[in-house]
Order: sequence, then C-alpha cells, then structure tokens
Amino acid sequence: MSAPASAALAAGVLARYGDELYHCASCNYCVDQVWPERGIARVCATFEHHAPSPAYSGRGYIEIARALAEGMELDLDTVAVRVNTCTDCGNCEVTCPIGLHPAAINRGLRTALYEAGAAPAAIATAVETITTRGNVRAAPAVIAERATGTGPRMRLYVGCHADEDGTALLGWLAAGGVEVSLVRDARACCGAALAELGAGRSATAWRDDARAAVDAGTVVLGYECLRHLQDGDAAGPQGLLGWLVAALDGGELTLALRRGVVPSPLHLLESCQLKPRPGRAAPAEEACARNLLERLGVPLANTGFPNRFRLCCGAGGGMPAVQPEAAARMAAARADAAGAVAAVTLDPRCARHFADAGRAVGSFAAWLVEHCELTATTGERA
Amino acid sequence: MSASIDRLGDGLAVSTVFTDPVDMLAYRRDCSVVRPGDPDLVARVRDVAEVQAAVARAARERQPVYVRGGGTMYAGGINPHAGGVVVDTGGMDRVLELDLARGVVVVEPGIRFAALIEFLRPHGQTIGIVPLTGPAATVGGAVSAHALGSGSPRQQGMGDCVAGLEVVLPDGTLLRTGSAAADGAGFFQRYCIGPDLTGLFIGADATFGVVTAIALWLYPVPSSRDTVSIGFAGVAEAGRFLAAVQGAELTRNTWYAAGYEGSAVRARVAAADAAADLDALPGFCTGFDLGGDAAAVAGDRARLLELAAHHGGRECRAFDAAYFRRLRYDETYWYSYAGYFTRSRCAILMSSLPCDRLEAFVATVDGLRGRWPDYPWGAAVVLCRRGLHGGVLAFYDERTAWDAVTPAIDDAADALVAAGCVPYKSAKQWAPQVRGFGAYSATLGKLKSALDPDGLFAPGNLGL
Repeated sequence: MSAPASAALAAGVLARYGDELYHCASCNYCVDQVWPERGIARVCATFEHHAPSPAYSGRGYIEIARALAEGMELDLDTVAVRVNTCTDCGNCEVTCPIGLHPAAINRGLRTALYEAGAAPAAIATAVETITTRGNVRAAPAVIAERATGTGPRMRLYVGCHADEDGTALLGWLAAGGVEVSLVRDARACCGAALAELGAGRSATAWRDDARAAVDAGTVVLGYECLRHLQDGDAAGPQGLLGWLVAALDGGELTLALRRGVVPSPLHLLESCQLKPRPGRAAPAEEACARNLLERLGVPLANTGFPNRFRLCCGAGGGMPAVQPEAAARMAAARADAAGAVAAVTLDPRCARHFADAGRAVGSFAAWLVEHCELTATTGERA
Repeated sequence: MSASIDRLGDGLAVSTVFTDPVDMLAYRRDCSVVRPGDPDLVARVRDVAEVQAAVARAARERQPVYVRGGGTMYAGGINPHAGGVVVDTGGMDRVLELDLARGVVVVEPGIRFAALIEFLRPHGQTIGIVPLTGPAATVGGAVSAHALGSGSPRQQGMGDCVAGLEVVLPDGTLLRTGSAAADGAGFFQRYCIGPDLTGLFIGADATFGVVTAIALWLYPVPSSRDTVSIGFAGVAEAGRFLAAVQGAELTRNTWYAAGYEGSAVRARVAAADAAADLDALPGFCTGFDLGGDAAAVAGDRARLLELAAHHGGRECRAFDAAYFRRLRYDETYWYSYAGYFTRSRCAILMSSLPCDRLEAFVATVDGLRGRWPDYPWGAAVVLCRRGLHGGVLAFYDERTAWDAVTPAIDDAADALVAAGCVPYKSAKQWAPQVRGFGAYSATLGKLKSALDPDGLFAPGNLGL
C-alpha cells in the first residue's frame, strides 16, 4: 500500500472514529474477561481460538486505528490480516463498559483496507467468488418455485441460502398450506457477506438493490442478510420465526410435533447476528424460537438462552476465509458446549459452518422441517 | 496449550512470542495517563519454566523486563518505557491448589478475580480483596500493585491477604516465601521465618521479581448482605465518623465502604431521579456494604447509624438507592470504568491517608480545581481497616490534552504529599515523590542493587 493511501486511510479513520479512539480506557473487558454472573467465560472467540494477542481484540482494533491515525508506520499486510481475523460477533461492543464501538471501527478499517487494495488474498478471493457466483461458497442455487397452498401468504427472499435446506423449507411451508412467493427481482446476494469482507461499496449497492425488491413483510432467511437489510430501518424485512409465530398467534397456522416424535431437550445456539448491540435492537427471532419450543412442549436445554455474550462459531466476518482452522476450532467449541444434548443453531449460515467443521449441528429451520408438521387452518393444502 | 518453542532461535522457549509491532500495540500502556512505551518483544508465558526462560533471555541480552497481568492498573507500572521484554502472565491462569483445611488457595498470577471467585463459590469460600475491575484484572497484577477493593475495610489491601508467594528473581532463582520456604511445608503462614520477604514483592510493580504463584487466605462467603449510606453536612464530620468506625472495629463485617463528595452525590441522585430534592442531600456521603450472618449485619447497620448520629450524620436513602446499593449488588464490576470514563479519559492518582486527613485531602482537590480549571476534578475515598485510600480524578481529552494534563497530575501528586497523603499504587506515576523519601528510597535502592544489580526489572517503577 502506498504512503498516500496509508495517510488517506488514517485520515478517514480519524475523521470517523477519532473520539472513540481517544476514549478507550484500555480496560481489556473486550480482550479477555471472565464474569460468571453475566455468563461470560471468554469474550473474544478470536483471542480464545486463534491467537492470544490483544491485536485481534476490540481493544487491538482501536489501538491499530489510533496508531494509523497518528501516523505510526505499521506493516499494512499484517494489519489487514489482524483486522480481517475477526468474526464480527460484536461481543467487544456489548461488553464495553462505556459504549464504544470497536467492532464498527474494525469494520471501518476492513473496508478502508479493501478499498485501498490492501485486503488479504483470501478476502479478495472470497469477494470475487461472491460477485461472480452469488454466494461465498459458489453453491448453485437449487431452490425453485413450486406449487403452494392457499393459506397465509409469505413473500420470501432466500438470498444466498437457496440450497437444499432452503428447498426443504420451501416444501415444508408449501405442504403446510403456506402460499409462498419468492423474491425474484433481486440479486441472489443482498451484499451482507460483502460488507463483512470489507467490500463496502458493492455491499451498499447490492443492499440498495435488494431493498428495492423486498418490503416490510418479506421474510429473509439469512440473519446476516436480515441485519444488513434492516440496517437502520425498523420497518425492514422480517425473520422466518417471527413470521411463523405471528401466523400461529393469528390462528392462520398450527404447528405440532410429527407423530412419534418424542419431545426431548434441545440446545439452541444463538446467532451473533441477532445480538442486540449498543444503539441497535435485534429482531425478536430468539424469543420466537423459545416461543415455538414452548408451543411444541420441547424443553430448552440451555437455560441461559439467549446468552447476550455468545461467542461466535467461526462462521462470521473474515474468519472462515482468513483463518479456516481457527474457524473450525470455534465451531467445535460451541458444539461441545451443548454436551450430549441435541443442538441446533438458529442461523442457517452457522449450520453450514458447523457441517463444514464436521459437527452435527443443523439449523433450527431444518429441525422444524424434520420434526414438525405445519397446517394451515384456512384454505386447502397443496 | 501450545508447546514451549524456541521460536526466535535464541533460547527463549516460550509458547507464544510477539515481535510484530502490530501485535505489541496493546502492550504499550495500561489504563493510566502515563505515556506508553514500546516493547521489543512480548513473551506470553504459560508456566514457571517459561518465565525463567524469558528472564534468562532478558538477562543475556541485557534487556529490561516488564510484567503484565490484565493491564488494568492506572499507575503506568506495565508501560515499558525502557523497551525490552514484556512478560505477559495472562495465560498463567490456573488454580494450583485448594486446601480448605488450611484455608489457603494457591493460584497462578494470570487468573482473573471473577474466575477465582466462581471457582471458590461451591466451597462457600471467597478471598479477602476483590478489585472493582474483577472480570479483567488478574490476581498477580493486584499483588504487584497492592490493590484495594471489596474487602479493604476488613483486610486493608491485597498484600494483607497473601499467605506467601512464588517468585522468579532476576537471576532466575525460584523463591518461595512464608511457610512454603521450608521444603514440603506448603503455604499456610506468612511470617514464620524471619522477616517478611513476601512483602518485598507486594506493591513492588515487578521491580524485584516475577510473581509466578500466589497463596491467598480463604474466608467464608457472607450469608447475608445489606447496604447503608450515611450522609454528613461536611467532610470533617465524615472523617471523624470514619475514624470512629475503625476504632470501634465496625469494619469487621464491612466488605466495602467509600466516601463521596457532595457534588458527586448530587450528580448520581439527579441522574437517577430528576425530581429529587438535591438541596436536601448531604455535603459528603459514605456508603457501607455489610456482610455476615443476618444478626451481625443488622446489628452493625444499627451501630453505624448510631455512631453516625454522634457525628451529625444520618441515613441517606436517596444516594443508596440511586447509586451505592446498585454499585454493590448489580454493577460492581461495571461502574469502576463506566463511572470514571464515560465522559472522557480519566487520570487517576491514588494516595493513602489517615481519616483525620480527609478534610485536607478534599481541600487539596478543591485547590486543584482552582489551579487547573480546564479539567473537571473528582475525588473519592475507600475505607480500609485503618486509614483511607483516596482517589483523585482528572477528566481530560486524550486527543488534545494528554500533554497538558500531565503537569496538572504532577501538581496533584506534590499537593497530596504536602497535605499529608502518601503515594499509593506508585509504579511510575509517583516515582518522583518516592525518590524524595530519603532513607526509604535509598533502602529500596540497596535492595534493588542486591537482587537486580543490572537494574533490568521494571526500570522506572518506584523511582528505581
């Protein structure tokens, strides 16, 4: 990276985050913290599973940004790796006693580095894959519109989750009588994954395209997509579980365990995307998941659900691209935390990551499809 | 755990070594206003052997050694002004031994207070002092700085709860103090063999060695708790009351107690209740967190109020509800930072003082307000078994006023000493004043020369 580019990067960081850079008290609550009363055993998955260097923590990102802003000469290739080795889980923000936003500072750095052509090669490759193939896995879109019921209507944006699980979910909804229409007039990717990788301009443009195609009632499958599309817009699209609970509450649907399914405890792994952060509420999907299990009589195994300080499973941010081994260790740690109890994750992206890491943690939506029967109370079934 | 590997090829067999400037940025400073330093190398050690390897390498290369725990202190002790090796003990976080019969727990220095308390909870035990930075602060750091916190009214400071230490000396020798000096005896008493060598390493900010194990005495978790806040018209009455509390041994069941200026009391109450009658609030307010069996707590609460009445004090429920009870029950680990740093960066200067100097202490802060009007100043005191620890706070904008606030803090240090206060949590913050204590400073220097003749351990701390 050239000196002028580095100076521009520093100026941009200082202009946007200057007050926060000089406000951090170096308390290390975002680095390595134990607070049992709040359910915090560790606060940063990267510090825990990749390297015990504060450079990978919220405080580290603030220190890096401040050093750049002050003109300290740092090797930007090293900076780029540190900054992109972050899951974007947001724990550093949730645990900051004075409400600083180190995750946002990290994202700002990531974006600035990417725009300056200084992103790690793995990040550049991942962005290229998304922009050319529609999703970071280059997975073919197998989902297809199918005959649906005449019950409650659902407008569905599947985004990059147009895979086998998405197809199964669509079939389940249709079999239950839900009239599903897929959003077709938008890119397969809403730009959420691009934003996490620092490709900020594309992420914004793709989000604006997707926003033009979805409305307030549209159901969005991916939680990173939901967060990206809802950004600053309370009237944005909604999550699947919220839609389901509303339909159940409205008497349009009934939900029951399939015949023969014994209600046994289920460990629900939270999504980092659903974590309330300072100044930003989260969709009520976690409360809806609890609601659905209560309706079904299925005990929730993790009594502390939802843990506000959950650690990432490794699926988020630049972690899977830049540090795949550490990302797999994170998945193993979260899966192991469930012990012998069956575990599912609310987030379909996390479910794919668990599968990649060889862990039997499917998505909650897939669990519903497998174990439950949905029935429309009006109209005919498909 | 990573294996100990000689990654640099120079005999430093340590599981994790950082040499990249990016990785070492967060090792440049602690929470203090003290300027940062740049280390040459960080060794994140996992056991005694790795500490000895790091110390040996530093000795061979004649590099300074600074020791870091959680990095949460505010006196600059870990700031590596002279460069060299930072020994990061944050990964040495195991409980080594729990001996309920002897009433001792032995831990590595990097264990976080909150983790140790959680470990002891099922046994109905706790430790004597817990800093308000418990989630991130390490036991080793608190020993090195002789920290205060919850337990100070009962115990005084962190060092008063230590039964013995294991220390790597500058020449690599592994020293065990107290009863553990005798082979096989273990930690159970501190003063059994001659003078108190343990004390040499407490509050020493790593100037004499690297602490690798700490034996702490255990205490039963109180079965009942209650808080009471008591206000006084002025500081003088509050100082006399606090002295009377200590004289009557009413600190025995007091797990935390602090005193707050009237301006702070009004600000806290106003923030919680916009309709509160601020004129009715006291000029100085004390808060007590009592713990023990229910009868003892109720009895001490009544005795405190009775004693306060003799000094013109009375219960201040508004402050208790708005701040003190919440601080102690819900947010013990939160307010220490949120309370100080929410507005801006905060320079904290800690001193020790007898209760009869409380009025002089507050007057000193008022003087600072007059001489340095650019900075909002604050003051608070923590009650100890004897005397007080007084914190002076100056809020400043680190982006624009870091250089400018430094002389104000230096002035505060001189003014506090002139008012009869004594440096506490010395590290680099109080180094000039410590150098001024003739015979004491000279004796420290002689001990330093004996143990660390090359002056490699934490140069700059304690004025050494």
